Amino acid sequence: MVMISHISTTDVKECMQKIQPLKYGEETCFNGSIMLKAYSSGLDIGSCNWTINSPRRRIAYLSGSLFLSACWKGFDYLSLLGNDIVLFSDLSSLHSIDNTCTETQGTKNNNLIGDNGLSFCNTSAPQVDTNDELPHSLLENDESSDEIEKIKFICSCMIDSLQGGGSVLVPIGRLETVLLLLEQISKSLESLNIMVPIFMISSTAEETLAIINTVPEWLSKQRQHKLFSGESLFNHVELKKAKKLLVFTSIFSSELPMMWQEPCIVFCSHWNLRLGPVVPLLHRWHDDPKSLLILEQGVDAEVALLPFRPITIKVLQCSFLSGIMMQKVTPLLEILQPKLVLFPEDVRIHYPIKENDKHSYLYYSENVQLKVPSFSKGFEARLETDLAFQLQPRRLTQQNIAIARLKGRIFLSKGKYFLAASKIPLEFSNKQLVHWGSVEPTHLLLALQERGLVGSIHWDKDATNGSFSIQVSNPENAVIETSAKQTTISCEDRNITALIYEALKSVCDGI
Amino acid sequence: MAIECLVLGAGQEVGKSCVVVSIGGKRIMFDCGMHMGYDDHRRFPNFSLISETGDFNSALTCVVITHFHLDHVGALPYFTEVCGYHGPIFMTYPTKALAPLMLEDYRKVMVDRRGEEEQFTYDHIIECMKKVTPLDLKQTVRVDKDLEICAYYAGHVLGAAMIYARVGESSLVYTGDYNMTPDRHLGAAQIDRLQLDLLITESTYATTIRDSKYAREREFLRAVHKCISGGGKVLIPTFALGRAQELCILLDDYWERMNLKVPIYFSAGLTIQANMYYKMLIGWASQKIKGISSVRNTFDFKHVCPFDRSLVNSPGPCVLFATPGMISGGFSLEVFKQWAPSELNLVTLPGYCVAGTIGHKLMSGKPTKIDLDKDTQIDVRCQIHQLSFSPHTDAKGIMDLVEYLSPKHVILVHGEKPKMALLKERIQSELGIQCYYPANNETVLIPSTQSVKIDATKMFINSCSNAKLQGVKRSFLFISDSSSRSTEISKLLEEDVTAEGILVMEKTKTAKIIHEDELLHTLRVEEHQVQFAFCCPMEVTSLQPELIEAKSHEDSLMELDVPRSSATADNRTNKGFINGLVAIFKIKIDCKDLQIASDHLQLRSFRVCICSSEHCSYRTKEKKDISKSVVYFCCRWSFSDDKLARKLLQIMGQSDSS
Repeated sequence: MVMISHISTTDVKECMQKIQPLKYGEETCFNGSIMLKAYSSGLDIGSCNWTINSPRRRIAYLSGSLFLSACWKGFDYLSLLGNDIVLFSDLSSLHSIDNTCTETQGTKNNNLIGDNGLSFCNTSAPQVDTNDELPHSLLENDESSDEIEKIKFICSCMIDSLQGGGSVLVPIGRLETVLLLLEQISKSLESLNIMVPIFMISSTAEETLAIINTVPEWLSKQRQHKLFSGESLFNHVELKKAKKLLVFTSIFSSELPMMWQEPCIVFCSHWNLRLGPVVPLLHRWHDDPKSLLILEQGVDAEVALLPFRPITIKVLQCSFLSGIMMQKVTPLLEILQPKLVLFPEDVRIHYPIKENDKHSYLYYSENVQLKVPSFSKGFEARLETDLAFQLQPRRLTQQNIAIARLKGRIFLSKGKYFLAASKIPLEFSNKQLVHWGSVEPTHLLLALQERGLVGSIHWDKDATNGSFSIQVSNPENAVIETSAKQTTISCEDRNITALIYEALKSVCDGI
Repeated sequence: MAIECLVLGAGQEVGKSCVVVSIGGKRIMFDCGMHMGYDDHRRFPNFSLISETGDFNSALTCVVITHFHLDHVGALPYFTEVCGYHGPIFMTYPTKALAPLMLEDYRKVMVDRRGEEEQFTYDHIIECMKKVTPLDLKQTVRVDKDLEICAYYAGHVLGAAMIYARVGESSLVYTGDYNMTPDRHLGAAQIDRLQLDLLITESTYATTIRDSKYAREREFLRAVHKCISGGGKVLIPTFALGRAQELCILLDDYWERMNLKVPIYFSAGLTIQANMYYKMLIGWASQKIKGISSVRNTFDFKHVCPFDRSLVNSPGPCVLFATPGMISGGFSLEVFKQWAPSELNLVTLPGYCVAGTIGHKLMSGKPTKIDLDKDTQIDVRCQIHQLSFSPHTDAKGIMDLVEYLSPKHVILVHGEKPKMALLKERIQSELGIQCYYPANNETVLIPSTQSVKIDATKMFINSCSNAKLQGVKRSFLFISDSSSRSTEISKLLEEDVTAEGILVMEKTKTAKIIHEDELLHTLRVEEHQVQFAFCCPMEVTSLQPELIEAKSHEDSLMELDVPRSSATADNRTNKGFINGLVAIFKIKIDCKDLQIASDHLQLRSFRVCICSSEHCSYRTKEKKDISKSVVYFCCRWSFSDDKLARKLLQIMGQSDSS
């Protein structure tokens, strides 16, 4: 088979150079206005969920998440609190669980592979009564212990094969499975005093194993505890030192034949059974009924094994949790308390819109734009004290309101708008001042008198809307005409006009 | 509200670092160190100043430790297990892993070798460390609803961190110890350009400027090489962690290059164990070491041999790393006693030794005899080589960091008083930043930035168009690959965008900033327009001569769209007067924006039309000479154009009288 590569090593390198690496919980800002943070999702090393915050929106973007993981940092859902929108981007695990739970598929697989003892691990977790459990304890009930049980079961099958004189072939799929199997099987071998070599044949194994033992920050609490008590994070360090684990970059490594012995355990790539050392090894063992092949969920075993027929090697296919379990979605949402939940369209049947639900739901489909309502009409901003002190608030006659003109500098920092005093003093632009409400004639007359202007009120008999005018006779002639919506001041002298305007401002709401 | 900074240790001295900062109602203890120079109560910070009743749990929000050195973490088990603090404690992963080794080593030295009464037990250390929450770099951690902390890389030792703390808009950085230049195993300090009210920085080398490390490293290697080729033994007393690894990288590399076979020993199991930790924590080492770690872990030393106590007196050259660094006791003192009398041997000394230690005595002059106690005297004939590569920043580094962060205030700790005074002057005069260096148990009050949460309408935000993207500031200190970007960004930071609006404050509601045009709607009121008016008389004759002149210019002026078909004789006369006025204005002002119609003129809000009403109420000024034919121009304008209006009226008045 010829595989055409669409990308070169240079492409990969160049692409990786463009990536800005982040730690969990590290703030990063896109464009000044969008704050992004990643929090562990528990699915794999470094896998994450995102919070995306802008001045108007707060979104939690959820990918496949596992509450507890034996190796990696678990699902950090508490850090996702306080977001308006929760977007479930990956609920594929819901489907796969549905599928694997069905009896028919299991039987079908049995039939397909033959009668060589296919075991089928079921991922359905024990049902928990949601009414009795607090949401947190429900979410964190030990789903990883189930996973450990599965690993133990696989190991017992491996031991059976080895004791029967067969080898075990483990195509490398999820890293966690490999690490846990390695840890478990080496313990079992030691306790049973079985001396078989464990090979790991992969071009990246050496590096991966080295790196994985130097990243405690990304691992589960139990693993971190190993660091703090002075142990290696994973036991492959000791296994390699003791030459119990032999790592080769390729099946053609010159030293491999010298070390090779059967029965043995081989971890190698690739899980699709089309590439890598797994191909020749499967050709070698496909018709050995004593040997064992371990496949992970996600591979169509029937298709994958087609080129290797006839198959008498035992095949164990197992599935591990790869996302949030269905019964945990609702309690999770109870904790996160979003206003809106976005689900993929195909899970609508599981989460239909209910009338009295606390959250509203929207369903999205691939390649279809969905308009998501915003929950805030405005923007959140911070007014810094230095600018606040410059304000000259004016209390209004109505509604317990005070208003003030504000002028300063605005800047956007970490997704928030800030209003601060300008470094250079700013003048208010000479804009038309705004006035509203009506003018009480006697108040105005009084205000004029306070400023030394003498006048008299004249009512407009024709108008019904309370129009009046004030004739000022001293020290200058002036006329002030007022209706409900408008006041006109007429005076030739500029200073007197200013006085009149001041008097008017004191009796009329405005800014 | 102010930031209150109580210095409990490392105030005008080096040792027992401990600063308690109150910020926005939260109280954080930065570092909880012990003083190596004292055996009495002065060894620990005076915790009673935090809480008179001893209720530290309600007095403190959290404790943050910057790195594993004893003068930063030494008092922590005492504080948690004996004083009873049970609140949150934060430190980085390496610090959490390595601090217990340091503490236990120290406890053993004190108890087993000096026979002192212990201040805390092994169990205390273990219990204490269980309460610690590990931190990753740059990870923003919410300690509680209001307080956020974040650790930044500080160099200095593995896992050393500078701590950023923020409550609302008030924020500070406590540097702990840091190094602005990379060394053999650690990178240089790195921090975001944060907006800070306060920077609390170490100032060990407040006045020293250091040159390149290369020469000093070569000197060290030459001294070691000379000693071993003469058959001597090299004693390198060091802290078990950090300096030991750095020097060992240096030696391991040199041994490899020079093909040397002389054994290198690490005295205690501690250092061997420390190396294992270093291997797992290699992600916290320098970029260079991290980069090659998947191929070969630098802390897998090739030339280090397993050590046995009997080897101390076995013949032949060797290099031995022993703790403690200042030869204040323990194994390094034991070996020193035996090796010091031979001139073949070499003893290296760390860059800094606390007064009272043998290291300090050796540093100050070259004594030939040292009195250990009443009965013991040591002959010192060996070579002494003082290491001068300190993992602390020098004065230039401190100034660079202060300038880069440009905080509003600086507090100096962890230094010597006279030098701190000089640095303070420099920071104030060169950078214009207020600086303090309080003594132990003193409090400094710093005003802090505060802000109020308000809502802003979309229209207001839109009106502040081109709002500056200040958040784009991912420039790091001294990272070459991002330096080009940082200049761009700093330019951005300097620019200001002006915002103008109206703040509406309603009782029990969040204040709201709106655009002026939204005000009436927001208040649910109708506008009351205020305008000014004046009916200005002009003699017809004063408009006549210009009338003709103006006609020739008519076409060049902008005309308003008025129906011409309805033009009557009267209109034509009015148009003449209007044009006459235009001509008058044109002499005096720029009429580019003047709008002209057959019956009126308009410039901005100022509008003139010919008044036909004999009882116009705005005729507050009557023309005295009624014999002359007079045209009344009724003018209206708004307040904003009052200045313009008065000028135009003045022009009209002047033309009239002439």
